[in-house]
Amino acid sequence: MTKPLPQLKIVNRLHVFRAERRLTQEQLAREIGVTRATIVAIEGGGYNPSLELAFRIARFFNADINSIFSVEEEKA
Amino acid sequence: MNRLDSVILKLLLYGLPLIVGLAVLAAAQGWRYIDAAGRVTEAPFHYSNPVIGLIFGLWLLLAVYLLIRLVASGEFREKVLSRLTFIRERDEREALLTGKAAKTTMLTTLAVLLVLFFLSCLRLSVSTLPPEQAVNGKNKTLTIGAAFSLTADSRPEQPEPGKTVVAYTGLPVSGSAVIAGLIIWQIAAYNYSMRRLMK
Repeated sequence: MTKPLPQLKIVNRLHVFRAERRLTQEQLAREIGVTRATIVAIEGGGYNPSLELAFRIARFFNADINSIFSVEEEKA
Repeated sequence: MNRLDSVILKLLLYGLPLIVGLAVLAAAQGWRYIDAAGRVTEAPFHYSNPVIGLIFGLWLLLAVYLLIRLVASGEFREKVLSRLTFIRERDEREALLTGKAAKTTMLTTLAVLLVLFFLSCLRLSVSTLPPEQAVNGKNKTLTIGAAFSLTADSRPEQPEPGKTVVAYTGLPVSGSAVIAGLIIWQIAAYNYSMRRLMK
């Protein structure tokens, strides 16, 4: 029988990076080619971006992807 | 999508209310096309009004073209969907939501189809038997059954012995009405689930 895997939660510091650059959600959305609703959903934790979009965001902020997105183990 | 496809799609969509209106008008005047003597009736769809008949014929030709394009081109399917539902995929999150909405629509449509299939197969009747056929003084019978046929059955149903109180032999609506209902259901279910997911 396989061991149950722990639930992983992806957290992000996108709003921090955005605030440091003094960017609105609309401006960031335009820069990385998505809608403002997607930025809202990512910041609120309602949507996990694809690897491609995550790398695009990291490249835009000229930062390491792990400094923006990280993984936490969810407590049961 | 090329310009021709775009024009044809607009003609079909904007012409649809006119076609539905004409169909309702024709239905209001009687749905029979040819009378008992073999003459065409005065329904506005037919030879009595050649202009309307021509519009209807052209619309049907465009609909056939649309069907072929829908089967052949994936890009065209996406454009038609966005025109029908007024929702466009602008990024990866919306593409994901489109997939979820399509799954919801597919499964709810399947549920509706299963219910319709069950109702179309169901045969039910409640009848009162003559006093001489009564069993232990009880003269009401309930018959439940199922019938499935690949082709439309033209044979009349065999009446139950005695007086029939209630009889149900398949869906009381026409095949066209069921298909129209399913088309409306699909568009409405997709629209509703997409808007709910986008909130």
